[in-house]
Amino acid sequence: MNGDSGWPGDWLRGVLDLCVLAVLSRGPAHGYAITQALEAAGLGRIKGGTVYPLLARLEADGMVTSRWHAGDGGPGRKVIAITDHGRDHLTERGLAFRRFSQTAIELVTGDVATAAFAGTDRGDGI
Amino acid sequence: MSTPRSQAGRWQLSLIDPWREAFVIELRLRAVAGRHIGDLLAEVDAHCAESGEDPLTAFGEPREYAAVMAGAQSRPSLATPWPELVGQVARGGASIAGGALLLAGLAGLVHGGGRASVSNGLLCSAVVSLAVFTALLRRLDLLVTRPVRGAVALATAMAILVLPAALWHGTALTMPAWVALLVGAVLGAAVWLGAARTPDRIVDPRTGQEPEVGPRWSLWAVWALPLAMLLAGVAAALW
Repeated sequence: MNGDSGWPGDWLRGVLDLCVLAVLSRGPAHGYAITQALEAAGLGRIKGGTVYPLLARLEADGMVTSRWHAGDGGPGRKVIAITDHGRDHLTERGLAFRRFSQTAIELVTGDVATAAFAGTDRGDGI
Repeated sequence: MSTPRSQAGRWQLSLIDPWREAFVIELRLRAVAGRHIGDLLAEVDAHCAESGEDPLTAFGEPREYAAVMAGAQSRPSLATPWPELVGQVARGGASIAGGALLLAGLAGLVHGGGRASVSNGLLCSAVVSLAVFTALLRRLDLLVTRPVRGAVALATAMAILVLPAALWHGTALTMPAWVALLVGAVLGAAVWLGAARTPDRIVDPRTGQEPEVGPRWSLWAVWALPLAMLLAGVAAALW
């Protein structure tokens, strides 16, 4: 239920809260606009059934607040805004995520992986 | 599939749609507050209106989505917890006793020369009614999720519970008819006031209005069964 972008669902689940906070750090937005921003960023089309439970958790944790705004001829919008706590969390976890992802990239595709493969070859007694 | 309607430029929540109906029933079974249910419904409406998706495509199966959104508010089990059940059973017991006393008092005025008598059979039926009522309240979710089996079980239980009243005529207790009518009326009024005092209505966060639930006659249809039972009881008491 995470999207149809081709990204594995468990990758998205691990980082979607930070992505949503990052979208909201640019300004308040309603639920559908958040899914559009995520899609525009290349994460694929995230379903409402994934985004709204996440927004509810973020609100329960005090990272976002929400408020209904009347719509002109439409059904009205629930506008979500990031809180100071949410910004602090985004900064702290965002930096940690950068270190984590760089480590993972090096391990999976970089010198670390090359060295590991070379070590395996030597171990085979060539 | 029906969608929320705009009336005179104002949007109104609607429950006339299988997805929304199933969503709300599941949230109600999980004891989510009416105000929060209204918020979740409005969120679904707003998302579907903007994206052009239907609720099933956007949010998946209604019962599963309700279980997720109920979250921390949700009960661990769909069975009604015992402390809450005690209050509901007390109200049910009071309404059953009140109804039986009113009917006995009415029969006493018409046929009993001013004395109301409660038969062993009526007393037994009242106790069985209370047991059926308790079981029904405890597992209301089964009646909703398995409506055919639930309805058959309920109809069978109701058919069985009238048997003692019809067949066992020995007198259990007698009292002046006016006492039976007065006590019955007091119990009935207490139940009525208690039920009217504790509504947990679904409210649209955008308008403060209650949702559209169906044609006007459907609001009265819920009274059809109790009214038919009352009329049948009065007819039996006067016959």
